[in-house]
Order: sequence, then C-alpha cells, then structure tokens
Amino acid sequence: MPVIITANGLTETVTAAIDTGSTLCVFQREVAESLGITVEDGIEDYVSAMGTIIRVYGHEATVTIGDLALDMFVYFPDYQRIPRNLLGRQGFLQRLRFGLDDYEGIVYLSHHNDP
Amino acid sequence: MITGIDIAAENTGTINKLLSSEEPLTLVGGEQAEEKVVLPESLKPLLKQILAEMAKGNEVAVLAKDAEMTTQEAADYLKVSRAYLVKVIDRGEIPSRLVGNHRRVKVKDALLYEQSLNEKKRGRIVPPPVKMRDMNKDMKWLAEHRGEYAGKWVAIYEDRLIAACDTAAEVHEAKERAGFPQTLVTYIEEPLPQGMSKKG
Repeated sequence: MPVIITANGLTETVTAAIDTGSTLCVFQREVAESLGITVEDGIEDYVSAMGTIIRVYGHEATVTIGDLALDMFVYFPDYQRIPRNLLGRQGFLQRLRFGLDDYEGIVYLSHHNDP
Repeated sequence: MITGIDIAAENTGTINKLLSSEEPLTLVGGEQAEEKVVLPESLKPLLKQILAEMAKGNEVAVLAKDAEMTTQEAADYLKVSRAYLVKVIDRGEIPSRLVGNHRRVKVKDALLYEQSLNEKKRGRIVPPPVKMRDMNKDMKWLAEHRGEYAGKWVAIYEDRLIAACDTAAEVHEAKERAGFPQTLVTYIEEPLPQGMSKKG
C-alpha cells in the first residue's frame, strides 16, 4: 500500500506492507537517506528478518496512509538491504483496527477507538 | 545503585507473609538480638515489589530519584547507545549538569525521558501533515508492470513511469527533475519461482 513518510520537514511517498509478525515498523535505508536522516543517530534495536538478525535504528517520523496519520518510531537497517518497507505492531498496528479483503485487494484501517 | 540481591528461595515465602501481615515489621540485630527497630509501614510495599522482581529472576536496582548517573549509566538504563543519549541531552530533552568535563543526569530526569520515549514508541494518531492523493492508478500500474521492472527502483506518478533505475539515489534524482507531487518511489522485488511462497 502507498504511504507517505514525513521527517525533518521532508516527505517521501513509498509503498509498505503490513506485517502482523513484525514487532517494529522497518523501512528501507534508502528512505531514510532521501529524508535526510542519519540512520546511526537513532535508537538502536534488533529485529529478526530474512533468517538473520538485523540491527536497526529508530527515528521519529509521521506515517500517513489515506486519511490516517501516526507519529511513531520508524526503524531503518544499518547496512542490510531489505526488499520492502514493513508496518509492524509497535506504533502502528497496536494503534489501529485493521481489516483485509484479499479478494478485492482492499485494506481497511481505522483508529482503534472508532465505533 | 544496588543490583542482583540474592535471597534464598525458601525464605521468600516467609518474608512475603511477614510483609503482607498487618503487624509492624521489626528489624532485629545484634549478637543477642537485643537491638530492635520498627520499620515504617511505607517500606512494606517497596520490599514486596523488590521481592516480586527478584522472584522473576530480575535484577533489582534501588535508586534515589535525586541521585545522579553518568551518561554511560543512563544510556545503559535506557537501553540506548551513549552517543544517542548525548544527542538527546544536547537537544535539551534530558537536563544534565557538568562535573568537570563529564555530564551527569538525574535519575528522575532519566525516568521522565523513559516515559516519554515509551509513549512515542507506542505511536499517536495525529492529523495528517499532508493530504495524500489518490494512488489507485499508481498501484494498478505497479501490479501490471511488476514483472517488467523486477529488481529495479521505480518512480511512478499515477499511471506514468517517471524512472526505472538500479539505485534509489538515481530514481530520486529523476523524480526531483520530473517535479510531480507525491511521486511514488518503490523497489520492485524479484519474483519467486512459481509455487514458492514468500517468508519473512
């Protein structure tokens, strides 16, 4: 799905996949670079992905999807290439209600408190 | 800072019982047990909490809120690198004072920062900083042309391919030159052989 990531007053429009198995929201290092983020200046953490442990660094950013936006921590890998941006639980899914119509290719997202 | 207090497992139950009792808790010492001090009631919940953590195998640290930590101790406590912590201090997010050339951070300030950091990590729904354009055409284009551009970085605006390049830097340059608002930039993954599902 398309998302807009905003940090340092800059925005990038990219695609991201929702990953219920991912604890963190991890974006490609290239996205950080185009937003002027120095990856290694962030909060260090580790994620397990693609059969290996990847060191990632968290940065504050705003992620916009349709009419929804979240201020959250987005993590970027140290040097490893990841094939896609992932929206995981912390900061994203934990704040939203999420539904999927795979047949129609539609994702439903709303505030977790919405009626 | 006190960490890793050891206590015999068989004594934990007895201590818990004493701490849960309404009777005052008395500290007895001396060779003949002749010295006795009644401990304040307010100490009981703290001791119970310490025991509960120790029972879980956690290390326990007792810190006075006004005590000071070095930047390394504060970084270890917050589970961030010292370099990151120094930047946070430089941004004024944690107050500090200089002792010679070294910075000191109050425990209570580190605790406050930890709280705000955890809040930020939980995420917060905010008004969108930008209005997102309709991206249906972009996503349709991606679905239709995925195979042709596998392994490439592409920039798309609606149903138009702006650029397809080997690196993100090249595609960003092309995107900037084209000047369309909210141009979608994405890496198109190599397809897997049929019958193979993606993992991770």
